Amino acid sequence: MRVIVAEDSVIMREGLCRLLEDAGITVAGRAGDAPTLLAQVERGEPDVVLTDIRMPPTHTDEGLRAAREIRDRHPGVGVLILSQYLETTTALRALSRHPRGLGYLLKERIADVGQLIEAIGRVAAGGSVIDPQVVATLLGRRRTAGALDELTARERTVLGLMAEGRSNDAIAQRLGVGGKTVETYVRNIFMKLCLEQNLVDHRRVLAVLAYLGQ
Amino acid sequence: MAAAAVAAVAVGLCGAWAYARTGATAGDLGRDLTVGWSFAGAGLIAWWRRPANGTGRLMVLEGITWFLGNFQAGGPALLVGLSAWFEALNLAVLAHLVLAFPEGRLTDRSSRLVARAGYGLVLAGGLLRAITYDPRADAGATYLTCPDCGVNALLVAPAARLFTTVDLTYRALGGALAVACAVLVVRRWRAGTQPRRRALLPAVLSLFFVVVFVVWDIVLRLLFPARAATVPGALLIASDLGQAAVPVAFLVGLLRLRLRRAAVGHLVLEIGPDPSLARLRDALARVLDDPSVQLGLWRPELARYVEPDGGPLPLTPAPGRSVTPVAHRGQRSAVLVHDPALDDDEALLPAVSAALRLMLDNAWLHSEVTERLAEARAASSRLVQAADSERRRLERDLHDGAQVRLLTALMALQRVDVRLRQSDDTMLRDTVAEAGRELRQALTELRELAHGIHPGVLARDGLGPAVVAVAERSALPVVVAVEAVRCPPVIEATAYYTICEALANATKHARARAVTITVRHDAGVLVVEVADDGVGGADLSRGTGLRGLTDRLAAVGGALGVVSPAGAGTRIRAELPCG
Repeated sequence: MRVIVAEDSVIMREGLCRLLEDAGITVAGRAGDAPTLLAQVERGEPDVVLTDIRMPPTHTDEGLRAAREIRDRHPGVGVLILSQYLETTTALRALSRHPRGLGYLLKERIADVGQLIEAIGRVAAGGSVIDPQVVATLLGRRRTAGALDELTARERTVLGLMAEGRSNDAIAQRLGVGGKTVETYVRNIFMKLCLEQNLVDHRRVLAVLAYLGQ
Repeated sequence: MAAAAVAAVAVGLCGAWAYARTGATAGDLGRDLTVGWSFAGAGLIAWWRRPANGTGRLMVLEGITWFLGNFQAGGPALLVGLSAWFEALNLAVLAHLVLAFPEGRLTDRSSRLVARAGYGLVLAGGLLRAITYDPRADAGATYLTCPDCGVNALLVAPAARLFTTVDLTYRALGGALAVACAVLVVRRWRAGTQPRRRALLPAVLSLFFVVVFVVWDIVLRLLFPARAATVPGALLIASDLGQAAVPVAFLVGLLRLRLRRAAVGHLVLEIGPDPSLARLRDALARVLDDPSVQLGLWRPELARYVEPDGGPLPLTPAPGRSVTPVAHRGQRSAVLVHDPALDDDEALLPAVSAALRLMLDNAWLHSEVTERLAEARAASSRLVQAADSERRRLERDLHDGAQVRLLTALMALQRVDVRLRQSDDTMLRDTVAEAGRELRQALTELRELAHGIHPGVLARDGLGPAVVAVAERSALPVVVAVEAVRCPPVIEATAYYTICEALANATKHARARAVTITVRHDAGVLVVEVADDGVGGADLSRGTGLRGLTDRLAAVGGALGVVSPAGAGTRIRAELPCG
């Protein structure tokens, strides 16, 4: 697995690279700003790019724009966006444009090596990743009344895992239940939320996120 | 003045009595008295209203001398002689009046020359004519029809042929002077500007009558010497009525200036509360009846006068222009370049200057206040922007400093944790795990703190996502409807903090169950509304939060309104300039 790391803080970038290398991942390039990152992607043939949202010169959305460009120009390269802040709108916007091979994680997740490596693996395989905190915020939005209230606690958990971009198998594994059970949960959820049945992979994520982001 | 009035009445009555002796009809007497007393009466009014102007006195003099010729009709022989001598004195006075109008004094050499020549002709020529005039022999020599007029005491050379020659020469010279007068007046008329011409109109009018009368008299005498005395009555009436109108014209012309002076007072009213220099100039042109008027404002830094459009006004005016400087607090302030005719009324321009000074004072105060207000507004706007950028800097510092350090520490701890997985020291592993949890908690708190100080999403994606983020953190259900429109950063930030403050109030004090946040853009105004269903009773004058918002909104040119009846919820509405 070849990964390029884009992060303007040197301590942070080096720390992150060491974590990745310790986990057996090849760091194919390091960038402190978006132009360097784009140049590295051209040369380094990475599987995944890890990029901070805020980079010089304006420290606003350089990483987001670079992510969009990479997904447009190199469909084979997965991008994991790291954000300091919990910004559901930003996450949903990025995902709705590029539902495949894109992930949005809170920056502090990098200290959770297992979670980070798993997320890298999923975007490399063309899947979607949404930070659990974002999903929790979406699920936790105070609604006066709605279909979400109809869901059982278990169904809400399954909905959250779906929203994070996990497949049925991954959910079954996480919850320690069988694949059939998960399928039943998913069918019930989709029925209660009046969503189209039988959607697969990223389409399912989009539908769930769109529902939650309403 | 009273003496002049008495004299005019007395001379008029005596003249009429003398005139009546010649067998003049009541109509003749009426016409005669009308013309003479018109001049005297109009002159007295002019004298009273414009004492500094000689026109009134000249008109009274004209009114008195008008009757002098009548005394040839009889009475003491000396009176008949003097009357014959000064019969035409009124014409010389009229010439003087015409040439002196409207200033009431002779202003140029040729006018003085012609006026003096008129008086000289009457004094010398009239005397010559009087000493050769025998009323009994030359019955048709005057306008009086008196075959038995009195005896001329001045008569020294009774020779009919000599008198005819002297009389004709006298009249011809008089006619020549009348023509000279006409030339001078026409010259002044042609050289004059609009206000000048208007002022000259009575002089031209009267001159027209006199010239017509004199020319007609001479022509009649030359062509039909025999019929000279039998002037058609209708023509006489027309001539006299015309002459009676002349003093009225003089009076009106003179008082017009006074009316204009009164109109200066309207200047201040007309300019109103917005005394822009261009409007001031236009109003001056209207009030002074002089479209060519120029207004210059003294600019000390340029050391010259500048016109309202910014063009320089030459310090030395063009020839034929008059200059009235306006001093203000003892210093040069403004200058009016105008038609010299306006100087005719010596009180008009001082009045205009005074009004101008007043208005410039006003304008100066107005611009001063406006400037100060703009300065104050700019200063508070700068303060708000400075505070905003300080917040951004603080947030950046937290992000680049503390957050990076905490994350790096967490990563290091993570590596320790990985190594410790094989270790049996559960206590050590628990301690590392606990340190990790604490670090994560610190990171979360730091993230919220930094976000509260300045949300990055606001500058990046605008109010919509930022408000959504606020709503997500809210303990209350929040309905968000934000139009996707971008405004300048300071406006967006102000709208954002307004929403945060209103939401915090609704959460903390209003005991609300739900909040609605709407942001819409309407004709260059960003309208932000936060409504809750709480207990109401919020007051702008209490609570530092709302007052701080009012100040902040005012600093960026916005306004805050709060409707919060007790028990019926609170609606906070902010309007901000955008686009």
